[in-house]
Amino acid sequence: MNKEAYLNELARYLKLLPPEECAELMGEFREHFECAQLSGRSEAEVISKLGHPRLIARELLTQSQIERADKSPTLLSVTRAVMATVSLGLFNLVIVLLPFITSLTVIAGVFVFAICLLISPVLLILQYQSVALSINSIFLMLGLVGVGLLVALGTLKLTRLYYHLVIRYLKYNLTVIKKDVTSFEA
Amino acid sequence: MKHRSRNVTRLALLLIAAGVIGNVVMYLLGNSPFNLYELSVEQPVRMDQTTSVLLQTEIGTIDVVPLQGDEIKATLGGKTTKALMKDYKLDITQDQGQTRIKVVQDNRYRFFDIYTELKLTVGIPETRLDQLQVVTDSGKIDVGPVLAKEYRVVSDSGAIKLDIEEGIIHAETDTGKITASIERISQDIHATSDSGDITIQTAEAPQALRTQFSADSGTVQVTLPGYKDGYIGEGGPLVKLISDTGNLRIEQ
Repeated sequence: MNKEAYLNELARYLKLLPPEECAELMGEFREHFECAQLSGRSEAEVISKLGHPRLIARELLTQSQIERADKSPTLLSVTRAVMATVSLGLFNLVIVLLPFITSLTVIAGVFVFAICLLISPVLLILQYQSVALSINSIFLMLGLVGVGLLVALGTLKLTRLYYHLVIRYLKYNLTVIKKDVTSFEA
Repeated sequence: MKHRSRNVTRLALLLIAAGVIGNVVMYLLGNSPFNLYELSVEQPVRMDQTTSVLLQTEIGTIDVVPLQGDEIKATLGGKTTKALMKDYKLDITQDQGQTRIKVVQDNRYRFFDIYTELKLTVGIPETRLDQLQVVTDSGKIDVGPVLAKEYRVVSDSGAIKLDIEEGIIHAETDTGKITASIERISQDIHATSDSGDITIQTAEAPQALRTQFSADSGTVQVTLPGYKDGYIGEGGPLVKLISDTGNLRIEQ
C-alpha cells in the first residue's frame, strides 16, 4: 500500500466525522508523511509505523466522540463515546460497557424512585379510591413530593458528576490503549 | 440555573416540614396514615361432612390449633392502617368434603402500605381429618396438635413448625426452617427447604425406619437408637429430608 492508497482508505473511514474535523485530521496525516519523507524515511516505513487505517480511524473516531461528550455531556453523547470506546477492543466490553450499564441502571432506578415520589399524590388517590382517606393523607403526600423533589435534584447533580467521571475514565482508557499499542509496536 | 435549584430545594424542604408537622398533628388526632388499628375478623364454620381443610393466604402467618366443639373457627387478626382495614376478608367455601379458608386481599392497587401484619388462626375440632393443607406465600406456619392422616404444609418464604401426633407429612419452604415434633414416626415424612434447617423430633423411637438425605452444604445427624446406614430394622416409613444449605437432623 502506498501513501495515497493509505490516505484514501483512512479518509473513507473518517467520513463519519464532521467534514472540517475530517479535513483537519487528513491534513495532519499528509504533513506527517511529508515530514517523514524529508527525514529520509520511506512511505512503507511510515505506514507500518502508523498501523492499519481502520484501527487508526477507530481510535480517532473514539477520541472525537469522547471530546464531543466532554463538550456537551448528555446521555446520548456519553453513550456514543462509551460505544466507540467499546469498539476498540473486546476487553472493553467488561471494563467499560458492563460498569457503564450497571451504574446507569442504578441511576435510572433512583430517577424512577424520584418520579414515583413526585406523582405519589396521584398514586395515593388511586390506592385509596376515597376522597376522605385521600384528605387524611394530604400531609403524607406533601412530604413525599418534597422528598421526591430533593431526590430528583440530587440525582440530576449526581448524573452530571457521573457523566464527568465516565468521560475521564474513557480518556484514561484511551490513553492506556494507545500506550499498549505503542509498546507493542516498539 | 443555580438560583432555580436553590428555589426547588427550598420548596422541597418546606413541603417536607409541612408534611412532618401535619402528620404529627394528624397522628395525635388519630387520623394519619401512620395510625395502626387492630384487625379482627372472626367466622365460625360448621364441620358438617368436612374431611379435609385447606388454608390459604398470600401474606401473614397461619396458626392451626385444636379446638373443643364441632365448629371450625377462623380468626383473621393483626394490625394495619385505617385505610386498609376493610381490604382483608375471609373467603370460606365448602365443597365435596373440603373446607377452604382463604384470606382475601382486596386486589386494588397498593402503592403505600406503612404497616400490615396479619395472622390467620384456625381452630379445628378434635376429629381426625383426611388431610390438612396449609399454603402461604410469605409467612410462617405453625400447626398445633390437630388430628389428620396427612399434613401438607407449603410456604414460599416462612418457617414451618408442626407439633402433631402422627401422620403423613409433606412440608416445603424456600427459605425457612422446618421443625416437626411428632409422637411417633409411623408414616412417610417428606420435607424440603432451600436454605433452612430441617429437624424431625420424635417422642417414641421407631422400630423400623428408612431415611434419605440430600444436603449440599449442611450436616446430617440422626440420633435415634439402632440407626445405621440409613435404616432402623427392616422396612418402616421413609423420612426424606432435602435442603441446599441447611442442616438435617432426626432426633428423639
